[in-house]
Amino acid sequence: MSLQNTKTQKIFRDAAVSLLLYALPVLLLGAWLYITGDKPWLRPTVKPNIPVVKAIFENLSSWGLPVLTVLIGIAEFLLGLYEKKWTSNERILDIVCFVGSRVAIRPAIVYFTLKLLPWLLPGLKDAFAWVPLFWGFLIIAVADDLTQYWYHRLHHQVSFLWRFHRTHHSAPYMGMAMAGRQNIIYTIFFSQIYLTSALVYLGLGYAALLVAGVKSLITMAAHSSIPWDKPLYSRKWLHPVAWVLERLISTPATHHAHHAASNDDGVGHYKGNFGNMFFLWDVIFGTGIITRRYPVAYGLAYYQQEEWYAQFLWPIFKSRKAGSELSVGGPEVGDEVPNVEPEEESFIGKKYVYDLR
Amino acid sequence: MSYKDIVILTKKIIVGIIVAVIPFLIFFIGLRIIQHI
Repeated sequence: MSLQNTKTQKIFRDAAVSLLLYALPVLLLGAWLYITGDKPWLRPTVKPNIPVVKAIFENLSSWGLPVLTVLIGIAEFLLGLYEKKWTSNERILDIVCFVGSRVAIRPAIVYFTLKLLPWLLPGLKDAFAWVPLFWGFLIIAVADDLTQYWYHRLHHQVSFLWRFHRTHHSAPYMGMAMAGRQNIIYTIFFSQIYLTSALVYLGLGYAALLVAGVKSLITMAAHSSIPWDKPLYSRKWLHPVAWVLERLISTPATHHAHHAASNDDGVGHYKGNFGNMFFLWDVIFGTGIITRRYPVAYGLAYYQQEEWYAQFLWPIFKSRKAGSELSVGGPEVGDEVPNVEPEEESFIGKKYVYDLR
Repeated sequence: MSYKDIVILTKKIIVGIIVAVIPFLIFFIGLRIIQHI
């Protein structure tokens, strides 16, 4: 069986399992309401009101996270964590992406939420506002993060999608500077943002606010070049915590492995570890490698330092670098090695790397 | 942008819509069913 067929079959098999994972929080909610006999939709809807929590998460979503990103970025820079790799081309690209995502994404979401949703789902505003906060949180967490897992995974495993995500992986360093570095098309068509916006329109706004805050902190920390997880690995009494955390959420070690320039160092796993907030999806689908070490180098082994505008705006603008994936007529995937059978990846992934050095 | 680019872009948008719409339908239909049981 060809490599492509094997990969396609696995994608479809995992997608089928995902349907059950999406349904799980709804099924559990249904079972809970059935057992308790509660029918919350018959009561007048009382929106959750925890002013302190609401204020924290609202401020976090509006100005808190961008400010935090900049502050951590400055700390990383002062600590010399970008070494000499943050060239002028990389700097412009990172800054344009950071600003551009706010300029492109915000208007797109506002337009979708205010204009398109009332037209697509007439009369359904707040239709599910009765869903209790705990269950709403669970639904949004699965909806948003599993959808992002798939969006991300498909951009790695489907050849024609790779170049839309390549910009995020071309950075030869990790840190706040590259955390939001994405091609504009990838950013505008982020599937989970529209899914979550639709669920907010249906009444799950408070839960979405909480999930967005928690998720942003986890993904930001996973991209940071400050390895907050190292103490968990070096202190024996913290190992049980590490064991749980590295399976549940993305840690710097597992996410840095995803950004490795090569798999040859025994740590890098750039064709896996697709999880964003939850690493659990990688464990379930066998696409993850859990490591406690950090890769030797980051980025793309075949990176040609393509022009920042080509990386940000491909395919609208192309690179002039001959042979680049982003050039006119360039290859879809620069490092594709054909006719190599992949290792059989099992359900509930078993490909783990442990190294406590 | 060439014709080929427009085809790739269109395919990308379609994949993105499918990835968002399928889970949305699961949640929407699931929660609606709960309300009617």
